[in-house]
Amino acid sequence: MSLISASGVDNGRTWNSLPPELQDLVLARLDLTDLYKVVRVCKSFREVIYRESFRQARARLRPVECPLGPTLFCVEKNRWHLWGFDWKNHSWLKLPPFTDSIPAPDPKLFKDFLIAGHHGLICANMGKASEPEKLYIFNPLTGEAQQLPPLHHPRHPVVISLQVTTPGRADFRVIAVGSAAVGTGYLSRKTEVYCSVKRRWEVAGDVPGEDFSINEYQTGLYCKTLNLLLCTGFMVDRRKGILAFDVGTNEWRAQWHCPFFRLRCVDRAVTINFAIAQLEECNGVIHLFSEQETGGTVTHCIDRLDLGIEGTYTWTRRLTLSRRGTRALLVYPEFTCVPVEEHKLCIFNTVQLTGDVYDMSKETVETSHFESLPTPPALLDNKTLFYSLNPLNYYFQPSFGVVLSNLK
Amino acid sequence: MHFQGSPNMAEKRVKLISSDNDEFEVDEAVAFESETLRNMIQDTGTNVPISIPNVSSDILAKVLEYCSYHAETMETHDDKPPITDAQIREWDADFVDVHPATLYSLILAANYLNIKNLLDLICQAVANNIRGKTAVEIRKILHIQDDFTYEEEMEIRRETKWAFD
Repeated sequence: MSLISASGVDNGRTWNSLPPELQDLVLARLDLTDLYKVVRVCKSFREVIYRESFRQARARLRPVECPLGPTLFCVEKNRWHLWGFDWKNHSWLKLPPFTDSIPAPDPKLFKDFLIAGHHGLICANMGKASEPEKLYIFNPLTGEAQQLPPLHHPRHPVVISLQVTTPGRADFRVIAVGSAAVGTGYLSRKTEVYCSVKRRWEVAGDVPGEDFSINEYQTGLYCKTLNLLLCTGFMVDRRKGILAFDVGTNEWRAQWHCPFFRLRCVDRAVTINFAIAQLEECNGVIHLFSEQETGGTVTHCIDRLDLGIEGTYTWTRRLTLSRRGTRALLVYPEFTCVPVEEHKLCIFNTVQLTGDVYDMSKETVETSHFESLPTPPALLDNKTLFYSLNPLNYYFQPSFGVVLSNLK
Repeated sequence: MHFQGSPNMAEKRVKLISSDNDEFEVDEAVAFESETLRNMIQDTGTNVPISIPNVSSDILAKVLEYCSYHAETMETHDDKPPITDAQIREWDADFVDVHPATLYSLILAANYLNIKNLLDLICQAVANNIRGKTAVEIRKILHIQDDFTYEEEMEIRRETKWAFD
């Protein structure tokens, strides 16, 4: 159909006559899985993901590669990978192995490692229990990694929250809270904030209430509209609820009061044990996923939390399920709740690797009607599975758009 | 050579000269698809022919064919139904169905003339040609030399094995 090909005009242009930055515009359009295969073509292709022109083009075309959730870590031939369910392609996806600059954790000690993620970056404590914390920040797509400076109060935090403040520039903030180590109660209240621009930790206000108010490993939930980091724990009145750290003032809200939701019909005298209490956000709506035990009955609940500016709150129960099987493991959350597609939440069994997806957009969430997550491919064959205590809230958005500058 | 765009007497015409000295005349709206030409025209007006020293006439004709069609898709006619997105996609798919050498020339031209949509279209077409292909196939398609030493080849095979499992 073309005049040019019909007339046989070939002006001798080849791929190699294109300048690298234009070649990168082409390569930036490859699928993620292809990108890691074409590195075998030639030296120039091998370096593609590290070139600025590729990064810029890729970030423009795909600010986020795909929403990955739930996510899992696995060790395969002694190399660590992050796996996740890719909702764009509706299949499980494996990210590149951790690079040598990140010390690979011992799989037997998986529960000691706390991992947070946000917009393309992961922050992980790779320090073993016997040694000081070692906080690394890395982009799993490029392998770029930095070790953060030591905390002013050396400890293994129970909360690590990572917020990429300016996507594309990789400006980020890490909030490290508390410690669950026995015998050092004062450390359990310590809060420190790392700013990537200032390149240092700053000690913020202590966690209010008693020691060990926050003693469950978590990544917390950063609420952008209120500029608050929300964590689950014991409030000042010793009830279980949500604590709030004001990111603007670097202080905890001492007067903050937000107990977990209890159905009115439940007798106040009956104890409710929260085996799991996990915050997540789906389309700007905050939910608390919990596993509750009341008088031998175990249920999973999803409660919607609406926060007002003046510290007011409203709970709405969205979903109640009787838990299948026996009581939860106490070592790490056997179940987790992951935001997946638009208005959809997946209750994921981290042991059996099964997930049920519920549509939260409906006024009444139908518990009998759910979509099952496809089974991960051969994940169990000759491979060691890895779970961290709270990996990324099991949700991650890989991106080439966040470039780590070197800390040196 | 006169390019057969959709002549509209009410509009200003722009003269363009290719690297091999062929003259093209198009509506200003067609030339405005190119950011580079838009800036030049806004600086110097339409009286003087604009010389495009690094785009040959066959490629310039092709570029103007693209600009002309896409400028037309923007217009509304009372007597004709508007061009649908599906029709545009089909036209674009036909447009890029050319020899790879032409695609590379078009990338250079679209980049120089700053026609973002054309650059995106051609880059995607080249990317589609290598999607899902092996390294050996890609070298063949793009005429790229394998420049790894044996040791490097072995190293990179080890490093990337995970992506093929």
